Amino acid sequence: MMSVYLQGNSWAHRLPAGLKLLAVALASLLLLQYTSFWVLVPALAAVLSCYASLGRDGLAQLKLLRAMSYLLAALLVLHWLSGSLLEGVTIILRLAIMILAANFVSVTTRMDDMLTAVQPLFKPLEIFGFSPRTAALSVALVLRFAPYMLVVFAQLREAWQARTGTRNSWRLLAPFAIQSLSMSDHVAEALKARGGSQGLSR
Amino acid sequence: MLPKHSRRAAGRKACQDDRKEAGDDWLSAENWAIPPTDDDFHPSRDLFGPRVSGRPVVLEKKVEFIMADRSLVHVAFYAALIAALGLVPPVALAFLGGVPITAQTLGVMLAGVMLGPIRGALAVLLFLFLVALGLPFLSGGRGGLGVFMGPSVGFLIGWPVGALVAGWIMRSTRELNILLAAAISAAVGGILVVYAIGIPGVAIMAGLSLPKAALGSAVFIPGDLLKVALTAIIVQTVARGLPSAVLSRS
Repeated sequence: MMSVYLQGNSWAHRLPAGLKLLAVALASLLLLQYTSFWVLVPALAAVLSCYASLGRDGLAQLKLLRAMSYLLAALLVLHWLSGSLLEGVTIILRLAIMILAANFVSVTTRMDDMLTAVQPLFKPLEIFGFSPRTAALSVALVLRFAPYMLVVFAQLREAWQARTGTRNSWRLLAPFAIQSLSMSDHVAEALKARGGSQGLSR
Repeated sequence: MLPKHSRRAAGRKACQDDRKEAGDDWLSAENWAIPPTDDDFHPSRDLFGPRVSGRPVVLEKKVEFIMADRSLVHVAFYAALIAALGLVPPVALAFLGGVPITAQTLGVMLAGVMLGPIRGALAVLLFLFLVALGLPFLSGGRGGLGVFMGPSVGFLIGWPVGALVAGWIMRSTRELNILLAAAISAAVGGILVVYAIGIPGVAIMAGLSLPKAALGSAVFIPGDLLKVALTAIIVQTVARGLPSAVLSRS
C-alpha cells in the first residue's frame, strides 16, 4: 500500500513505535532551545546517519526535503530581504533537522504499529461514546474512497475525451461530485444494513 | 439573443407567472409535499428521529449510533476527497503570476461548506491524522510526521478551524442564495481563518516577522480565491442535483 513507510528490518524498524514518537517529540522540543551551529550541525549529522544506516533506500527517503526545498528557499529569501541571513540559515537548518527526524519515524514505522501506538490517545474520547473501532473504520473508509474517486474521475474524463476530443473540462466537476457523493450514500446504507460501525453483535 | 439556458429560465419564469395569475398554482411544491406523520417509515427520520422545527433530534442511544454511522461515512468521504485532490498535480496559471496552485484546500473548503461545522472539521482532522500516520496525501506527495514540523504547519492547523468556521457560516446563512453563501463561507473559513492561523505559524517556525511571513504567504491568495469560486459553483451544482448531500443546509 502507498505510504512513506520503507520496508525493512533495521534497528530503527525494530524499536517500538511509541518510543520513537516520544524520542522525536523530546528531541524537537530540545532542539528548539538552540540556535548555535555547534548543536545544529552535529544534530544534522546524527539525523543523516540515521537515514544512512538504512542503506541506499534510506538515503532516497530524503526526497521529502526536496519536496519542501522550494518552501525553505522562499523562507530563506524572506530572511535575506529582512537582513537576517545568518539567523535565517540557522532557523531553516533547524527546521530541516526536525522535519527529517520526524519523517524518520514515519519511514521506519508501519502504519498499523503507528495506529496502535496512538490508540491510547483516543481513550479520553470514549466518554463521549467514541469507540476505537470508529477510528479504525474511518481510516479504512478513507483508504478505500480516495482511489475510488480517482477511478470515477478517470472514467468520466475518458468518456468526455471520447465525446469531445478535449482532455479536461470543468464540466466534469458536476457529474464527478454527484456520482461520488451518491456512492458515499450507498456505502452509508450498506454499512447500516450490516449493523453499523459497531457490528450486529452489540 | 440571450444564451440558451437564460432563454429557458425566462420561459419557465413566464409560465410560472401565468399560472400564478390564473390562480392555478397547483404545481408549486407546498401543494405536493406530504406532511410527515409519526407512524410511517421514512428513511431520514428513521436515522435522525422526527423533525422538530426543521432540526433533526436524536431520540435514543441506538439511533445515535446509526446517525453516527452515516456521519462517519460522510466524514471519511470528504477526508478522502481532500486526499484525492492532493494527488492532482499543481497548476501554474500565468495570469496569477505563475504561482503553483494545488487543489487540496478546495477539499478543505468543500468539507466545511458541504458538511457543516462539526463534521467538516472532523473530516479535515481525519485527513491530517492519516497524513500523520505516514500516508503521502499532502500535495506534492508529502506525508508523515515530518510535515508537522515544517514551516507550513500553521496552515495545517488552520484547515480544520477554517472548515469549522466555513460550516458555521454556511449553516447560519440558510436564507441566503446558496452560491453567495458558499462563496462567503469558503472565503472567510478557507482563506481568512486559515491565513490568520497559518501566517503566525510561518512567523514562529521560520523566525520571520509577521509582515514578512504575510508577504510570503500572500502569493497563494489569488489561487485560493479561484478555489472559493470553484467551491461555490460545485456546491450550487450539488444543491441542484443531489440536494440531500448539502448536509450543512438539510
